[in-house]
Amino acid sequence: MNNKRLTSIDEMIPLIEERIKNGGSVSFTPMGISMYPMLRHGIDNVVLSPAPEKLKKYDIPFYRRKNGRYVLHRVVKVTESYTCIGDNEYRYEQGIEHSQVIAVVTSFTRKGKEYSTENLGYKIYCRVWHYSRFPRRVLRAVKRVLRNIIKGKQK
Amino acid sequence: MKINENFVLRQIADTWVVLPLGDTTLDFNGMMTLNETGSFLWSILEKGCQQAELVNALLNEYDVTKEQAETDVEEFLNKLRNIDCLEEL
Repeated sequence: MNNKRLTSIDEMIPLIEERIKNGGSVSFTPMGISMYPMLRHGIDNVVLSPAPEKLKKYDIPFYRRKNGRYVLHRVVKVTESYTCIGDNEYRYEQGIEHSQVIAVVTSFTRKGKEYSTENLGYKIYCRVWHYSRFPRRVLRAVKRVLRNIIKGKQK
Repeated sequence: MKINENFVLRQIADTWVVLPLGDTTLDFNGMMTLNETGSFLWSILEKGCQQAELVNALLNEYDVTKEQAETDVEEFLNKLRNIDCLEEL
């Protein structure tokens, strides 16, 4: 009669896989900061649905890494396999096979409002955020160097 | 009263989870979980019973006072009613 939440992904996996396999969808709050600013750790909600035969660029698959870890990251390149990366990351993960994909994000809830992945504003966000990754990275490096210089002078 | 046929109880590790059947989105945030006592009451409710039978079952199975058992059963049934999981016969 307690209301313990199932939060561990390992507990949720069998239920997610079963529901997706039967053509249904699941909704949960992902943990982690790798998809920030789109998804805030433990706050925003996503709906996962069965994946199409082939994912497209900017899709967000829920997939299982070969080391057994489950991840929700964005596709940024489609060849025979997929290259994925979190919106808050700078390191690409290559060679993700379609067979590793369990489901795909079809909508998400942010600040109480539900957005479809077909939403125009969302589509613009995906592209802007992806193409600004390099300048963002440079900016971050410059900031870090400046901070170190300032710290060095203060000593 | 009886458990609505559109719900099943599934054990995941040491927790029992109330799962809605059908093709609605399975929402992990609103998911109801039960402990051992809850799953015990569920197993009786699956077959259909009266509220007093649940109280008696708790008294037979666990070391609780009648008042406590009545409160627990009431609370449990209300939770099930909140998610439309209970059919009043």
